[in-house]
Amino acid sequence: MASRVTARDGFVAHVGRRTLETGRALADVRTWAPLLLVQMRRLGVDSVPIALFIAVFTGIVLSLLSSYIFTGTVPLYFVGALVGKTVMMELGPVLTGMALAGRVGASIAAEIGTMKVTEQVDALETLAYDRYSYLVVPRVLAAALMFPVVTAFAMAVGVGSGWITSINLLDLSTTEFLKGLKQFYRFKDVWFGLVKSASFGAAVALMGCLRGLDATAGAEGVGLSTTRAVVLGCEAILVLDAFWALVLL
Amino acid sequence: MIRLEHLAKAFGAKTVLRDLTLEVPDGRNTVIIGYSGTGKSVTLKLIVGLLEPDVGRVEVDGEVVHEMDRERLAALRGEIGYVFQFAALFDSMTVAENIRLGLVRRGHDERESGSGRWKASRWWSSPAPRPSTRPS
Repeated sequence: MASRVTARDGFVAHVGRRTLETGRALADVRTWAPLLLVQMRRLGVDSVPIALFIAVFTGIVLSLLSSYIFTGTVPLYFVGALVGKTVMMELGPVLTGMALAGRVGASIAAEIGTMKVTEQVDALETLAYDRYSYLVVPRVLAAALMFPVVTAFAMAVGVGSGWITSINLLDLSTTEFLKGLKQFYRFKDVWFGLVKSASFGAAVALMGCLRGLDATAGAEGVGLSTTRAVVLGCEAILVLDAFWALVLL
Repeated sequence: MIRLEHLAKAFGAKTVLRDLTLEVPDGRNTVIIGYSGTGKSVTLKLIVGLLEPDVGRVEVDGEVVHEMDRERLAALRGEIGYVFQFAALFDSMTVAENIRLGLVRRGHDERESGSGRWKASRWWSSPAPRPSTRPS
């Protein structure tokens, strides 16, 4: 039979089995491929504004905070180093991921949850569409591909807003800011953040899809699934953040 | 031939089907009538494999439905016309896309599905929905 997920499975086993089903569904390219671009636009392109909004204020706060910490202890150009490192390696991916967990995870869970409770998911199955190939794979792939793109924009804007704050509110010149930014810069800072971001995207989308597919009992059930999807997405981001730090640093 | 043998199905504490046995021979129209919540939809979903029975067997033309692999199950569903109680139309798609979805899956030409088949289906609805509108 299509799935061996049962009500008796614990949470980890439940997520694990459904993740395996999603992996299996990757082979059904003719089903999910036509849907991928639309999902990339919805989950990625449409998420850029909120990500940039967060990045702007992250950069501002980081530069002011680092100035407060460094004044009188280390040269102020280290502000550039701290802003760059922190935005690229941590706050850019994580804060962007958290914001998108709310936006992307919730919208996916609500959409699929509504389909579930109105039997549209069952209707797909009766038309010989596999629910994982049609609903889950395009969203998970789209998020895994687009979260790094959105994060890259956020990184650039975060560092940029930190620079603008530094030259306008702190006693720092552009030359000094860039000196600090380049002092400890390594290309690994960027790809580390982007790799994390891709995993965050996949996890957020997967949690949204799985919660949506488990929605029951009408509007209330869809609401509960949506809330749970956001919480699980955020938790997954934190766990993955620690995982990648352990593995790659 | 559809054969249901000693089917039982429960959702949590609620038992919907208990020891259901039914045989539907080829060429016969069979109607299942019952009050709301007595398992009519559950029975149909067991036949097309949308649900697995807790106990018992569902056989269609000699094959046990819940033991079929994915491909065989998809083929079975292609042979069964299933109409959901509340239509289960895909409200994110237009009327034409709803009609086209299943036809394209079965290998019909996409352009033919989008226009010709829609025209053929208009007889059932009056006034007929415009293909570019979404299900209300």
